[in-house]
Amino acid sequence: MQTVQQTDYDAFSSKLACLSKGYLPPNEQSLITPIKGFVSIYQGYKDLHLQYFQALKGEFGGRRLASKINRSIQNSQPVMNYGTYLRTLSIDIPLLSYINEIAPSEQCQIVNLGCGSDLRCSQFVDKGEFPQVMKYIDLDFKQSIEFKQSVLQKLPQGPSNDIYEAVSCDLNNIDETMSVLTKLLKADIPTVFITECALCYMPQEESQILIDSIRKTFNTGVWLSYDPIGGDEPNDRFGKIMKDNLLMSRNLDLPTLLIFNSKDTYSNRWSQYEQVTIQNMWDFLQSTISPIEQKRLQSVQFLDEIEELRIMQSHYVTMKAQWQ
Amino acid sequence: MINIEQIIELLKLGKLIPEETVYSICLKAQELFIQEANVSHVDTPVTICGDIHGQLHDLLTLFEKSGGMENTRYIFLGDFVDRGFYSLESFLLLLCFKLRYPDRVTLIRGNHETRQITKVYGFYDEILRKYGNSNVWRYCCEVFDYLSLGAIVDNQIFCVHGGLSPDVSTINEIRAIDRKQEVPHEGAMCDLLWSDPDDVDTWSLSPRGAGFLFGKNEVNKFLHENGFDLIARAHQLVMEGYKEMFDGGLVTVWSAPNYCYRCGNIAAVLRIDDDMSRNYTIFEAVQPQDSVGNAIIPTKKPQMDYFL
Repeated sequence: MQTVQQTDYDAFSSKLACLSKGYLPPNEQSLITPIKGFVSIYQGYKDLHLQYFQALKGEFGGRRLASKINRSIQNSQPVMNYGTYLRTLSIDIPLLSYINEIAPSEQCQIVNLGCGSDLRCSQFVDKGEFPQVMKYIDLDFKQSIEFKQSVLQKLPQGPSNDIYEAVSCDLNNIDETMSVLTKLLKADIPTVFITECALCYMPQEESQILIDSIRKTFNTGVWLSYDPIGGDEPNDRFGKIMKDNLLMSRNLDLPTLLIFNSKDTYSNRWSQYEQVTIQNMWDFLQSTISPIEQKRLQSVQFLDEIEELRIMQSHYVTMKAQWQ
Repeated sequence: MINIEQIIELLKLGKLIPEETVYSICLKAQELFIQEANVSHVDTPVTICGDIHGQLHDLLTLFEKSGGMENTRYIFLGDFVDRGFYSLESFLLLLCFKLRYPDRVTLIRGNHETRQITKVYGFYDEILRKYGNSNVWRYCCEVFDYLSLGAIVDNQIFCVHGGLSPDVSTINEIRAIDRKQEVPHEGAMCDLLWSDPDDVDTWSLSPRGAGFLFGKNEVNKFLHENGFDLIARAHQLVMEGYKEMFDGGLVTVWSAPNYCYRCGNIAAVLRIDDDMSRNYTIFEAVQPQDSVGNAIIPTKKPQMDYFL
């Protein structure tokens, strides 16, 4: 459990690195197809993350964590910053599009399963730009949630309490997870479920039960997921090497990386959902990010190796499963 | 006096070399490189090697699989440092071989052998980690400035790290470059280290932000004008270790297997024999082992490898 929790600090320091180098935030020219409100969800984005980072240092163990995070920011490499940028947008874009489709007079709910230090709650709740969002739930392990709550309390503008709620729960305990979700959310309101590098740490069976239970319980919504896939080409060894590397270097297991190894095997888990689309992140880059923005990204730091970027991004996917 | 043989043995074990010793090695190597032309001539038989990127243990495998320094000549096409965990040891090992066997080793500068790039891609940080100061990095960067820009094998094969430049149509134009400097952001010297072959009709902008893309036309023209058969270059990761293009007029050789310990590619070197035949030797990554055969996992990882 702890090894999984620690991946959150990888994600958070990656995001800080991406911000400090200037990859994030994107701008009005970033997308091939512009989306209403895209730029404004990133207003104050960098400050928000820096404030969170500052506040985190005051927590128990925070100083050590902060120096670790600082080191990874310093050593951040272009290929990773590029990927963090893409990962962030691959959730933000469909999330914003979905909310945009809901009239301001209607309601929707957002749940981030395995949220870690993710601060989308602030982007989509605090600014008051999305009156549709009547509930935003962050869900993660007890320790992560307690840590996050006390950091958030120190921020000048924490998320509004009546809409935002952070709940602790082990995702692998499906009964507990579903009872928390049904207690806090309304089943007949459109609901966004986000899993950003969360399902990949769950056992195969549990993740499937979670996917099926949510489909059964909630009448309408969308599931947005970002995860690595092992690869299914005969000579593709990326997944096996990744699995071995992470097991060996930090005892972190990705139980389904080689099972859900392709776009098809990954997205088949949502076959009960009505509209399922999935893209690998390399295709996402080509189909979503404008040439002018790609040029900007290349110039932030020298991107020395395109093929490596392609290989890595081809082994991550962004999936959207919508129902009703 | 430094004992080169002894240092080579220490380097092969991945041992840290004292700062003063590194200084002496760099100074001696510099004295050798300063004598060399921008483009040196090399005889067959010779083994042409691509990017190494600090993967010391794979470099040792490379020597093992291709005959070894004692038995054959080598051309290294640059990118000795950055990305891998043993940039310093890999580069010093090659420098020591150069000092020990000056006529058997040709080292060509890659786009990573610069101050600016090594600050982004790991070599600078590696030195700080290993020595607590940047002196050794500075000594190495001084050597980088003297590395040659290309080599010609038996008047028939042009070896370069990246590729061609719109500012260069003959070898004499490369000879005229003042190479002893940090690699500029544009111009002939930059292009030779940064450009890539691609399926393009004419010179095109490179997605790397430096150098150009060039196609079959440019390659054929260059080969014809200079009377060459082949351009051998590195610079691009190739999953199969090598890739011939343009009806065999150009080859990319990549010698860092499982690049960055995660890409899963195989590596290759190209041996050119006296009859100019091309023989590729491919090899795979090895798990670094200590003297009693246990796997070595670098403990201080300089970067995060994956999105988690």
